[in-house]
Amino acid sequence: MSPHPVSPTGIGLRQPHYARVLEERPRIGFVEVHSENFFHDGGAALRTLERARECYPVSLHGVGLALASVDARHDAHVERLAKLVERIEPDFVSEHLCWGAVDGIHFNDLLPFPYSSEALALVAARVNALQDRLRRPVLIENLSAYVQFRDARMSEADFLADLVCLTGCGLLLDLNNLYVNARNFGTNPMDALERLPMHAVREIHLAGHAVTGYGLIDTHGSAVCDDVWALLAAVRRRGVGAPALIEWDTDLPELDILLAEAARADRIGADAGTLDGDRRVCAA
Amino acid sequence: METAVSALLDAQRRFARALRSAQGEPAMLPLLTGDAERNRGLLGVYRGNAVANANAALTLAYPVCRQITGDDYFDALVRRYWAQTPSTDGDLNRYGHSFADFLDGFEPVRALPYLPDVARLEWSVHVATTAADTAPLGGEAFAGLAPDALAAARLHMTPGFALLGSAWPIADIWLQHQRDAAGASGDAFDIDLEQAQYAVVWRDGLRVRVASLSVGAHAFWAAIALVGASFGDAWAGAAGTEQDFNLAATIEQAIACGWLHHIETRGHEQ
Repeated sequence: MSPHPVSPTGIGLRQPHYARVLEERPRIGFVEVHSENFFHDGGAALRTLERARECYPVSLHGVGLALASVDARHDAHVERLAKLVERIEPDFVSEHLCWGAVDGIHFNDLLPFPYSSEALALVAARVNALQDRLRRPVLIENLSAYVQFRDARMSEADFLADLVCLTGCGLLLDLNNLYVNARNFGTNPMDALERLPMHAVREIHLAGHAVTGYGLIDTHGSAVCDDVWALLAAVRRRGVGAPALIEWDTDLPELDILLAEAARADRIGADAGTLDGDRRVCAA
Repeated sequence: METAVSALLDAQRRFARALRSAQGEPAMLPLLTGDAERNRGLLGVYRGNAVANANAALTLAYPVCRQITGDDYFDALVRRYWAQTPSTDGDLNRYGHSFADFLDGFEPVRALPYLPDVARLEWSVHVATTAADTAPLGGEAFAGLAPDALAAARLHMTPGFALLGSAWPIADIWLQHQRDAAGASGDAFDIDLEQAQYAVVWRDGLRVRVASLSVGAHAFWAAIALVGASFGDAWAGAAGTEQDFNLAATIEQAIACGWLHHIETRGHEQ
């Protein structure tokens, strides 16, 4: 197989690291933030994101649309996202394959639902409407789920493959989520990889999880584990060049730890393909 | 199709009830594969996440209240508030606007009678933090105005500007906690807890500021910002509430702090 281009790795940009990232401009491929934390008219956070955007491609990662919620009121949320997309001009806009609100209550969490053809029709309609409003494709992320439904008619991988066909959306492949689910439900993560449409992967998430009495919990609070690094290598060997992202939300360490994780992801990419240079657009 | 979508809605309603309370678990468990006891524990993990997310949002919006009550008491307040008034928006930063009203009606908080008004002040600060960035009006805007035109003019405040009145010294309490949080020592000032106080919140560039206001200054800005009164009517009203009301100093403060956005005169905005 001839070497394929692999985009350089990014990091999740969180408040404690704002000052150092803007000052030192580390060599990373892009930064990602949670869209909802910038649904503002103005202020310091939005200013920081605009400054980051001057130096890096930005990925806007949503955590609040809850696309599979049957009766959620999405319109205002979509409009706020559209305003932010217009302002930031991100490289990626992504959301999760989950539900989160019912009967007027929002749980502000990423909740699993039974994968059925009916749910597929609902989510596909929502993704199409979102893409129409934003006038761009969005990426949908596979979920870490701790429970599974009896009346699921298909796997999450098959659901996502169909969603890609129905909407033309991209995939945000979260390898830690894939791994956590496989371990918790006693399946092989490679099976899910085989069924997911690799050609649609536009971004890859890497994160750590916690090992608890109930199984693995997706905490984004530790280093990426060896098994997940192995999954990244497997994805790279399949010719996927989409950039990876180091996601770290709880117990946030020093920036250097994130940069070292990003460098490790880059090395794995370089082993399987050709690292596609430095996408940072201005130097410190 | 209709019944199938209803099945999805039914699953989400059962899930929601199990997230609101452990009493909702029995109706949810039959929908899940695997061991029921383990699933019960996992639903508990999800339930904990929902409260933790609400707690993170309120901790961000109400840091001074959290310092006043202590962490454990604040966590308990959040659980009670979340049980009564859960989030309704996918943007968690909007959650908690009614926290002060909840505290008003929550009997155990009576031992901290100023807490609800401190919460009101903190919500105004929270809102101002993300208000639109604007260029405040400079003093020269008043220079060309004839007295009659000024009297009839309406002043418009910059985004984030807010006024609060309280039977408690909420501005002093808030400012003291900022000094404590900044690690200032030795120059702590005594707060007279019996003192009523008016507070003003505004954006100074990207920072949010809080200060106390005199009775007259509060009456003046409340007439302008809340009632939409003309400059002349606001002045007359303020002079009636405070004998020594100093209009020039009040306007100087507004310009120095950047409270004014624009002046609307008959048919003109400047």
